[in-house]
Amino acid sequence: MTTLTLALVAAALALALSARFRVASAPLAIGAGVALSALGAPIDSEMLLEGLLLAATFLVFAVGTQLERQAIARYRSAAIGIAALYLGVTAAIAMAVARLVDLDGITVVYLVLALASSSTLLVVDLLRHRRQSFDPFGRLTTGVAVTQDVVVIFAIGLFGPALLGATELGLAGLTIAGLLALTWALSRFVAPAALVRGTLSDEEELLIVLAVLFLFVGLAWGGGLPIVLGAYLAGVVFSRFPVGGVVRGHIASFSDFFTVLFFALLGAFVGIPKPQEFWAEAILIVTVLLLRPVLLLPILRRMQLTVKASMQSMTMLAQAGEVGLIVALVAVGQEHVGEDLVSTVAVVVMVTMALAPMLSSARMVSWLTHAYPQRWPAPTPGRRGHVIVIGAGDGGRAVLAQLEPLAVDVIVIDDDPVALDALTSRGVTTLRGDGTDTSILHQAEAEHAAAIVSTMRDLHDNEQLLARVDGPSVLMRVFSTEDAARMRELGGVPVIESELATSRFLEWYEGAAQHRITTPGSGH
Amino acid sequence: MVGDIAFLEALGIVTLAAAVAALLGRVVRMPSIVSYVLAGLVIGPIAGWIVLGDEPHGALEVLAEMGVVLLLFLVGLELSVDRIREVGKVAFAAGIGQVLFTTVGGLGIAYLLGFGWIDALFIATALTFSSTVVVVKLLDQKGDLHSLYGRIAIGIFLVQDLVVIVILTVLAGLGRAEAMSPGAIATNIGMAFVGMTVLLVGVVLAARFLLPGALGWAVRSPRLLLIASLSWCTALVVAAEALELSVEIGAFLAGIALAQHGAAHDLRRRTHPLMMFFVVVFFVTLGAQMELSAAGDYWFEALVLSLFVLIGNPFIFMVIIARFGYSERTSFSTSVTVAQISEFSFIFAALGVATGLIHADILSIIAMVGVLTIAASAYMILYSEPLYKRLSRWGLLRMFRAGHHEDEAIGGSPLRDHVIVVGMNEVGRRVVEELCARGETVVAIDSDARVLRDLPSRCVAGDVEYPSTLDDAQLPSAKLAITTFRGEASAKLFVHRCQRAGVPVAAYALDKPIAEQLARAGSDRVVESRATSGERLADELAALRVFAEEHR
Repeated sequence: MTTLTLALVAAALALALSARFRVASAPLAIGAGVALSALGAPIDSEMLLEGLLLAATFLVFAVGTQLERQAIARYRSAAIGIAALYLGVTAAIAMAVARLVDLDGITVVYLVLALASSSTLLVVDLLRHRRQSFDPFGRLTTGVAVTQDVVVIFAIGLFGPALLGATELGLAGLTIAGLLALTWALSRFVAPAALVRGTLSDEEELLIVLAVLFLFVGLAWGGGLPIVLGAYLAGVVFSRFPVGGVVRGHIASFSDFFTVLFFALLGAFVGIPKPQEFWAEAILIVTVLLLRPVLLLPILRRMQLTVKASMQSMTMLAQAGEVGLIVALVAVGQEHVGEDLVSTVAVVVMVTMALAPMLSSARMVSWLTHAYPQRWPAPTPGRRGHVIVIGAGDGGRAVLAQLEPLAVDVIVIDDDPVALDALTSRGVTTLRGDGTDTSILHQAEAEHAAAIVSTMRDLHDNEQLLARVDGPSVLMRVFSTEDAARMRELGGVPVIESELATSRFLEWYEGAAQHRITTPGSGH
Repeated sequence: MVGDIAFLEALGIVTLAAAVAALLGRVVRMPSIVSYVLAGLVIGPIAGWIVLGDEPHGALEVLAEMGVVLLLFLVGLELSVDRIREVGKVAFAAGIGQVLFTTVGGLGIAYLLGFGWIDALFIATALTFSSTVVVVKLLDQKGDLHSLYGRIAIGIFLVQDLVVIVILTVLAGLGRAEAMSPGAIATNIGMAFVGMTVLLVGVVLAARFLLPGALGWAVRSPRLLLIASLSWCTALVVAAEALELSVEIGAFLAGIALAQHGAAHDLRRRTHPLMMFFVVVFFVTLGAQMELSAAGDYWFEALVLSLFVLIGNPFIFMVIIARFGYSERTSFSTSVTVAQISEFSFIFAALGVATGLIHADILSIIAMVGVLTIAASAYMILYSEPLYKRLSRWGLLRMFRAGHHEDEAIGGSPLRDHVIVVGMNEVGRRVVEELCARGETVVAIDSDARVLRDLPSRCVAGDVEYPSTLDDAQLPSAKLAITTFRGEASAKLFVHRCQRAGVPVAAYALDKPIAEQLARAGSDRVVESRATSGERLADELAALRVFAEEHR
């Protein structure tokens, strides 16, 4: 109980600091664990290892439940492509580094696998906090992170047996195929029947979920595979909607409890990093933070991603995460590498996860986007009294649909070539670029426009726009009355989304309430 | 993977056995804890799949202990000091009365069954303890922790816990002559009470000066709230152990200290799933640890002693509680809660064997009495109402001369035809205010208790992912529901649950893909934010008439 208490107190402190300073909680929790170890806290080593094993099992299970295919379906092929590129680029860099610092092949493979995935937990947290989960780039980034987890977890499942020989690899492949078939059958038939259509109590439902977890862990272990593969597939069993939602209610607390505990215990396990590893860690950090994103950016641009979306994705994925730590722990557990690998990966994870929020901030992405050269044909000059629509998404297209019958001269500005191409083919004048960029606004002859309609969601973007445009009326959408007041103060004409949504809900309420009065008994 | 896989293997067997036993037990309406203990018996003494006791399974023991800790922590969160104080006198009288009765009665019966005085004394003392964990778990399952009889029962168990501490303290000194002197015993008992006082003062000071601020700050992040509260709880448990008090008392006081806070209800909701699993581990490992090797030779003695616990303990309770003016129903419901022996009884007997004072067979007898009384009392507690009605009809309860009045109103205030609004962002707050202004009964839900302040409606703090949040909002009897969540995962789940409950629901969607998913999940109306605001932007543009002159 003392070891658990110490780990919990360390984790609570890390979470409190994370909430206070808005930094990722995982590196702080690892740091708190390291501090416990450095201060000589009375930690039972056997309990530490068992706790770490259990926490890792639940953590990977929770990661598996995140794989809701429906939510990322549209970005599946892009996500697979990017994840494969990540693996390839990481492998290329690692091989170059291995030549420099004389690493053996097995260590290099584990290192590549450890660094080839970004933290899904951090990506999901950052996107949720920034309300970008449902932006196209947000879905793509989540899709990439989730795909990386799948690739890496299956790769470590096969790598251990591959080292033993072709027969073992074949057997491992068959076991994985069997587990996949079981995953499909349980997620398709058993889980919905038991958890959605069944009449089990909460406790019975929870036990079924956990029994499936341990069943898969046991099957993976029995088949000579790492237990994390079983834990991950067990999570996938419960990832489909609506089962996923029901299961989240049961395991959300487990996920919160074991995730933070995992990082704190891991910190206590690795202790203070050794100074002689410093250069290797520094090279890996630079690789994850800078080298890999720089190499990947041109490739992403060829995949028709916009500059901004590419920058946002790359900066958010420029970190190593929890699956990397699991890879290192599996490698050490199988005695393929020494414990130093865990320590090295932990340092890379701590530093890159701590820097990821800053690196992917709106300001940094905006700066990087402006620094990136891009070309798009400028519209014919000499326009007067036109309307500039910034944004070619749902909002922008809705504005266009309303303006079309009025035969107004419109220029649409957006960063996304795919969305702009669709409009250009319909005869709409388009201009590619950032709607807050002075040169783009100048090309669109904003100073002579009759009005500018901004559908940009970010308040900061709209503030910049108002500061850079003098003359035409600028209309924008904002969510709250507070944001609206700020926009009015700066001379904008805001449309308040919360006000609109409220009136739509009340319309529905009036209709539904009326319907229920005329048809008594409905809904019960 | 680093770490000993044997622990995970044992935990896996425990979990799978519990799940299978719970599903099989469901068919014959067996109380779940009986299923768990039986599952433990199967995987432990019968099949030998896991062996506990000789080989320490450190983390498994911690998980089982965490089950007990979280169970008592939740009881503390549920109850305020005032509500416990209300039942203080009866709990004290019944707790002490039962200890005396069972010790004397058990000693007599054991002696008559042919045991020597020392064996008889150990058996009688082991029969004295009732299981707080068994009873609290069953009360929680029945939703009766708040009830009057539930509170009296919890009060009694706290009194018994203090007695247990004293007995275990005395026992720890057995075998050492210097520790058995009257002076040493008095010192040990005195130390236990000093420890209790120190812990109480510490908790009162923390509850007054430290916790309100800390929790008020932690409430901004549900994860922080959970982890900070659990670390407070386990820290107090460690402190209680250091002061030689029970983990139950430490956990209970930790819960009581947080009970007054606005976030206590949400915290209970978040802790509950963890407790459920860890308590399952506790019961299964309890079954697996049973030492039943001599059970066959002593089945008659075990049966007689079990009947004494099952009938004698409730009898003396009926006598005492009825004397305090409580109704026949309350007295009966409370009395059946003590009809079992406790996990402490096994620890106590094992200590006796370890010190060489009693034979190992006594441990088997006590284990058998434990299995029988825990199983039978689980049925008695879960089905106390039909049992009460039957015994009352047969006139068997008349001798206790208890009243037939109602001690307290049964049930809370039910809601009907209300509107549930989840997600208190600006849209949610506006909708709640407008609906309240139209005279509707509205229940507002959000996971952040801070945004629920100042709303004119009823409020429930919690995530809709937890079924209990929607139970608190009484979803099935609502007439309409609205979700203003911007995240699709929670919105979809809420829509799905509304659809299953037959409640019409409207949902907010940021964009078209989310709107399509919500419509597929069963939303009756989807308010699509971006398209709506886009249309309004065009309307506003037209209203400005900035381009009208040039294009006409």
